[in-house]
Order: sequence, then structure tokens, then C-alpha cells
Amino acid sequence: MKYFILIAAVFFIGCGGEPNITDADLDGNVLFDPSLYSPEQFLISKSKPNPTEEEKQKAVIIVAHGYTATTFEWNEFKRYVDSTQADVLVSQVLLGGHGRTYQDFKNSSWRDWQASIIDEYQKLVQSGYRNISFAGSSTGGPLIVNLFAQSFFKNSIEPKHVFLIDPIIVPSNKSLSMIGIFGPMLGYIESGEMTAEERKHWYKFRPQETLQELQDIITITRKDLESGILFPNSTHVSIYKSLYDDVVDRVSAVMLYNGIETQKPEMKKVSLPHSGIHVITRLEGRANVTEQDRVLQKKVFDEMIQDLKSKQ
Amino acid sequence: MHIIRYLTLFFFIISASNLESQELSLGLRLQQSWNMYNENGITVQFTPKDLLNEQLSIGATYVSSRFGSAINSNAILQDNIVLHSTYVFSKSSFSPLVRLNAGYCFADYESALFDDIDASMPLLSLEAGAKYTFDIPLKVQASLGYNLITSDGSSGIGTVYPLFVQCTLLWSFSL
Repeated sequence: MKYFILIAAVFFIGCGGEPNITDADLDGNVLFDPSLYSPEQFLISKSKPNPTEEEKQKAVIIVAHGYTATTFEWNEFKRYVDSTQADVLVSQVLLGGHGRTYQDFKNSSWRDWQASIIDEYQKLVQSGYRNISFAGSSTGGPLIVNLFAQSFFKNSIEPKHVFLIDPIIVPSNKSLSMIGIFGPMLGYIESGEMTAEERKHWYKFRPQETLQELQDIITITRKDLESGILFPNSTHVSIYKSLYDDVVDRVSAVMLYNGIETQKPEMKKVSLPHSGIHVITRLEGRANVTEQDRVLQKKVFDEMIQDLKSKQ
Repeated sequence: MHIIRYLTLFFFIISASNLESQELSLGLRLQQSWNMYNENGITVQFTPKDLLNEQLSIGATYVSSRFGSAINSNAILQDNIVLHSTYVFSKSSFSPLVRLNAGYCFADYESALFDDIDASMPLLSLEAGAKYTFDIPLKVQASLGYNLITSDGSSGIGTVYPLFVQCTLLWSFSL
């Protein structure tokens, strides 16, 4: 029924105007993702472009954030890895069109978002790194899975492990499926309640053009999964999907698990924690975080590190 | 159990009616959810003679992704069973129609790993479209539908999407 109300509202209100962006919002012209100023603090290809033979064998994980987010989404994982001295290198990519301005975001496509992941992987391979893994949260998930569907790694270094944290294939809010019809009338959609910290690191306003791009990449990935996506022989997959997540529908985990084909069945695993947090790997900046959330986050981090270390 | 309950109700309604000069239609329903699955199946529709000038029909439909998107693919197996009531606005060969569907959807995730995810949910949808009756006892109904109940990501079946289009081919029999 809420969709009916939304549709009726769109017809009566007509075209949306320009969003009311303030300097406290990432969408504006004041705040930018710090990786744009200091990429060497986020990208291994920039901080260690000439690795030693020993460093080339180290596990490197390229972490990709979700729709409207920034490198901030994986800060906690990076800090945790560093604090445990796990000897794992974390490369935080900023998706194309993200962390900049509303207009930059509006003009970007999902291929622009994905290009940052491809670019970092190619630079790491060129530098000589041999043990490369990926982690994607929310939209970062289908952007990574799409690379496998395209056989992107066929003649290159096979990724060791892919971690998918609340990957979106089906959104919780099904009105996204109608964005192609109603989007042009809406113009943009404003995010729900955000903390001051979140407004610095996530776009508050979602241009309908980017929502259509999001719908495109999840539809493409869903169809690829229906056909089956064959992963390289040595690539393992771990899917984490919160059961009560209000952003990504849990059926996404079923589609990914059934659609990804690894060399052996035990090379893919799925975990469905009883959590309502979307992307448990990021707790910083949230309004309400419980001790249970912190315990779950640590568990996920520890499992990821263990999986990365076991493949060194 | 839900299937048996609905079918019992449907056949009770039919048997309670005066079958003389009534119309029973059997056919195929082809359904496509907007940005989700294609689901096809069978439908049966009964038109009582003395009810609203033969402009109201009741029926039952079974459509499934098994006969659509899930053929030779990893699409989720889901079965939809609905009872419906259709009202056509005139008895001429071409007429607009509206329809109300109520039923259940059942999903099969094919693994015990997903036992924590709901595998059934109620369905309630509205349709608006048109029907065309040919000179032979063939009818075509096409409509745009809207599911009033969809999953919120934490309950229900995530592949039940709001918008759908459908085309039904019906062959009519006089009883």
C-alpha cells in the first residue's frame, strides 16, 4: 500500500526540484572522500607500488563499498587488520562517481563505479602482487560478481577469496524495481534519517539516474546468476547476509549461493546472522550499536582474516 | 494445506451454483513481474449466469517460475496459487476488466541453509486491463497488476515484486 501512496504522490507533485544540499553533506562542494586527497593512505597500488618478493606473496584484499558510500565503510576492517598484525594488506577503493559531488554522482554509471575496482586490481597485478582477494559490501557485491560473470580473470591472476557482505541482488524496498517508470518524475530520492557522521561519508540525495544504474547492475547480476557464474578454480566465496536488513532482501543470499559455481561445493559458504544491521562490517557513525553487533562484527572480521591467511 | 483449502472453497462455490447454462473457461496464464521473474501456469474461470449479468467471474490460478524463469536456470522456484474474481464492464467482445486476486506464494530455496528465510507469504493483488472474445470460444485477457503485499526484506518472499503484466488465454465451455 505504501507504494500506491508513493505513486499517487508522484503523480500529484510532479517533477522533483533540486535537492537542498548543505555544506554538512557529502553531496555538496565542501566535503570529499579523503582518498581523493591522499590515495596512498587507501590504495596499496599507491602506498606500495614496488613490492619486494616477500610482499608480492602477501594477501592483498581490495575492499569495495556500497551505493552512495565511501572508503569510510571499510575503515574499521582496515584498522582491525592492522591492529591484529595479520600481515594482510587492505586496499580501499573509492567507487567512481562516489565521494565527490551530487552532480558527479548523478553523471556516473555503474560501469564508472566498477572501474575503480578494476583499476586497482590491474595496478596490483602489474606491480607483481599474486595473492589478491576482494570484499564488497552491498552494491560492491554485484560490482565484483559481475567481473566473474564477464570472465574478467580468465587470463589473469585468479582471486583467492571473495567476501560478499550484504550483497544486493534484490532490494528490501521493492519500489526500486519501478524507478525506470517513476524516477524521471521524482528527480531524486532523499535518504532516511542519517547521523551527522553518516552525512559526511554517504550521499544524502540519490539521483534517480543512479538508482536506475543500481537497478541495472542488480538485474544484470541476477540474470547472470540464473545462468550460473563459474568462478575460477582457486577462488573461494563467503557470503554474509543479515537476516533483518532493511536495505538488501535476504533472498539475495539464496540467489548468489545458488548461482555461483565454485570448483568444489565446499569452496563457497553462506552465513545468515540474526542481525538487523546492513553491512555489519561498518558500525562507526551508526546511531544505535549494541555489544552484540560488535561481537558479530569481530567474528566476521576474524573469519575473513583467517580465510585470507589460510590462502597465503 | 493452503492449496487444498483454496481448491475446496473454489469447488464449493461452483457446486453451490446452478450449473445449467453456466460457462467454465480453462486456459493458460503468462505472467511477467516487472524486473523479476516470468511465471506461467494454468487458470480456470467460472461465470455464473445470474450474477451481475454474467459480467462477474470467479476462478483459480496456478502460476510458477518452474514454467518460466526457472526453466534450465538457477532462478528461485516459486509457486503462486490464487483465487480471483474478475469483473468485465460490458458483454461486448471487447471490454475493460478489473480483477482481484488473493492467495499464497510458496518458494523452494533448495537448501536447508536457507531454512531461516520465509518460504511462504500471502498474496493480494489488483489488476486492470481488457478482454477480447473471439468468434470461437476463445477469450484473451491482458492486464497490468499490482501486488499489495511484498516482502520488506526481513519477512516474506523477496521475489514477489509489486508490478506485473499478464496475458491469459481462455477456452470456454458451456455447462
